[in-house]
Amino acid sequence: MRKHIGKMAACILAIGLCTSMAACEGQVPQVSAPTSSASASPDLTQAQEKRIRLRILDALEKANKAKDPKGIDEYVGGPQLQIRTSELNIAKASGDLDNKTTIPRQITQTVIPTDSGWPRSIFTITTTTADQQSKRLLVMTQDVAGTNYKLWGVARLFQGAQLPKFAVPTIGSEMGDSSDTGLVFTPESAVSHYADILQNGTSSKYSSDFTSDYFQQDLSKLEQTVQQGMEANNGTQKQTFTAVPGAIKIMRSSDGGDLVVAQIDSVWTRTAGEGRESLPASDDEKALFGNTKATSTIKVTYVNVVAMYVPPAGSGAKVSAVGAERQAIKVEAL
Amino acid sequence: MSVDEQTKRRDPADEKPSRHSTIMRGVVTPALGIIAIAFIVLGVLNATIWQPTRRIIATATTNSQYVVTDPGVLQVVDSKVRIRVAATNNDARVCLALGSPQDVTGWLGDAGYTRLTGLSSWTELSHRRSASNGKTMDNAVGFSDSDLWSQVVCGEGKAALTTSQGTSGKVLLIDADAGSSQGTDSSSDDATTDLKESQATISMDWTRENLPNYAMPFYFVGGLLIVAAILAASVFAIDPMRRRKKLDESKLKKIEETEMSVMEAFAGAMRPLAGEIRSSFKRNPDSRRRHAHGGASRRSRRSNRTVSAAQQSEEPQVPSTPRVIDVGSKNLVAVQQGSADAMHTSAEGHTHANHVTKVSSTLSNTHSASDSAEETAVISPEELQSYFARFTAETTGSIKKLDDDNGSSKQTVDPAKDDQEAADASDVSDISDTTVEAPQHPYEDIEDPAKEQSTTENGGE
Repeated sequence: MRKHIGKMAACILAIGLCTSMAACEGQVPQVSAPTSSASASPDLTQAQEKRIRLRILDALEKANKAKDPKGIDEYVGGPQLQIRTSELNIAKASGDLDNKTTIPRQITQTVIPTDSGWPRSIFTITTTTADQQSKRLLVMTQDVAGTNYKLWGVARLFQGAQLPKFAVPTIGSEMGDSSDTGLVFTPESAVSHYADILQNGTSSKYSSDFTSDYFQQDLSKLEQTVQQGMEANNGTQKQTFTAVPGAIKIMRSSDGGDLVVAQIDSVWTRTAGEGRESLPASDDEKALFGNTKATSTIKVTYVNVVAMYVPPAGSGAKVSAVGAERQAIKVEAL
Repeated sequence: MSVDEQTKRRDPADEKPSRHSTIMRGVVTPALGIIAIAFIVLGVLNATIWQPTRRIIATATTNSQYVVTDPGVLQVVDSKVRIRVAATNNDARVCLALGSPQDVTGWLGDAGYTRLTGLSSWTELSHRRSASNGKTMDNAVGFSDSDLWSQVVCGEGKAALTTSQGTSGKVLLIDADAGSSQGTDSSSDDATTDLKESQATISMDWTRENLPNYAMPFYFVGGLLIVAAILAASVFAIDPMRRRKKLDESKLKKIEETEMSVMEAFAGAMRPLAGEIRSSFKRNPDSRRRHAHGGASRRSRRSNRTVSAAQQSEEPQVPSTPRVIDVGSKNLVAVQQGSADAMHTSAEGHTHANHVTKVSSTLSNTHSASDSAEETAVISPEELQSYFARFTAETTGSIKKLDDDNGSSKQTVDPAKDDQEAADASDVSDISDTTVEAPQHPYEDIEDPAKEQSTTENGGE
């Protein structure tokens, strides 16, 4: 009997050992806490940026073909909405879309933000156009999580312009603020000073802090030409440039500077003398002016988008504009 | 060192295995071997039929329109996962999207949702309802049209999404009823119906690329046990006293002969077997008679391979091929002593033979019977030569003395009796083949049995 019990115990022990030594699935894995690096990851992947950009460009392409700005507000916002609407209206009136409205679908670089909040902005630089126009700097902005990215601004880069360096898209860059310090000027101040330079030219007290650029030069030439004509008619002309508050997008570069894209509105008022009428000065103005009865005074409102690089303080570098866009959006006879 | 000790060391196979060795080789080694095999078998089983499941499917049933995974849940088992969502309402539009945690939070705003927090078991997902303030969402774009998602999939009634590489840090947002008015919080009191309609079953399907290896520990332990078994059968089977002694000797380097080569050990181990086979072929009536000696039979059988003095004294009587004796390996002194003993026995009759028998039985009791004359030949050639000279002189002197006394020599004048005496001597050698070893000084005749016994006992010690 005792022997029998011993055998039974041995069998139970053997079965127990086999069961305990049989493989199991292991311990149920626990979710590890997210690392701090996860919060600093870029908001978007390059694929997402491409999808967003092409969605916008497709919508613009559709509007360009229709020469109708209707519906583009779903894809375009900020100063670019005003510019593109004007361009499409002009194209609708004149029958031709200006070549400068072309935006290449290929890009050379994209800068993706890492900020977790909203609004967020993506800075993308395209290739040159098929007709060798300069590269475009696209700024796409998402105001809140419940909306999609819109094309906020486009600046045609100046030939030979040197853009600062940014982190690769897989790392992402931090967005700047309009009151960033540690720079030659705060971004907001830099835009205001640039507007002053555009208005006053070399006589501006800030001209020594900014490098000369094509945009300033072209505006200065145009103004001089118009001034000569107005003087011949005993007329006057005045153009005022004003930085639009809040219409500014900033991306911090790797060297500590800021790439700033801002909106500067300008109003050009021309008054003819000796009882003459002031007429539009360009095809765009004509198209916008349409059949409006001309008077002695004409007021043209322009939207300017300026991209400038604000270097860090102590670098010894000047603020330099790297690209700009200018479009008349309204022509009025006063 | 005595001759007996030398002989013992020279032929370890002749020794009876110690109790320690028997236990180590007969009990410990097989036990370790069996356990080692068991472990290896368990390892093989763990690597095959008991291998952990490669595919893990965990499910959960939720009651809210929005379900969000906590960071890390998607990668909790493996980096790649397939998520399936099936809504209770087959007409509901089900959407799944991958996005960053902050994007999902931004999208949800203040709307209520269910959190998938991890695995409660290998087949169940743990989930928890988040607090909601009942506010509605005011997203301008539809779920599937949002730019926030890196991956988004929608379907009617059910949808599935497989995460791709590089989705670490992403979370999953499920909209179980994307077609309904956005922002409807199913947890609010007036949305009880919506809550039921938003019920969905979520399953996550992982295929583990790296399974836990439970077989390796078994293999490792099995290997260790095999090594232990080998050690138990070899090193640990040696008597500890002897092992220590061997070590001492090796340190002192006094006796190089004690070192045993592998071939010698093998030959020693095989010798009993060979002796058994040989004895089975060469067994003769004498040997059979020898086996009839009861307790001494084993020792006699083992000592068949040794050449006793008595047998050697027998051999010249049988004409055979010429024998070449290697004086370096043969104890000729012992041989000659055996011959002398035989002659002496013939001279003194059976009485002396009885003495020898008594001595041999004493030797047998002291376990010195296994000593052989062959292996006691540690005599220098000079000693041998001097012995021969003395032996010749003594022999010549005794013959001369006999002649002088005009007595008839028993060894020489009566061949028949000589034969009988030789047979008696043979009997003596049959009783104990090793009696020739007992006199350590070949010059001494065995006259006093008590003296002999004390000598052999000392040698046995």
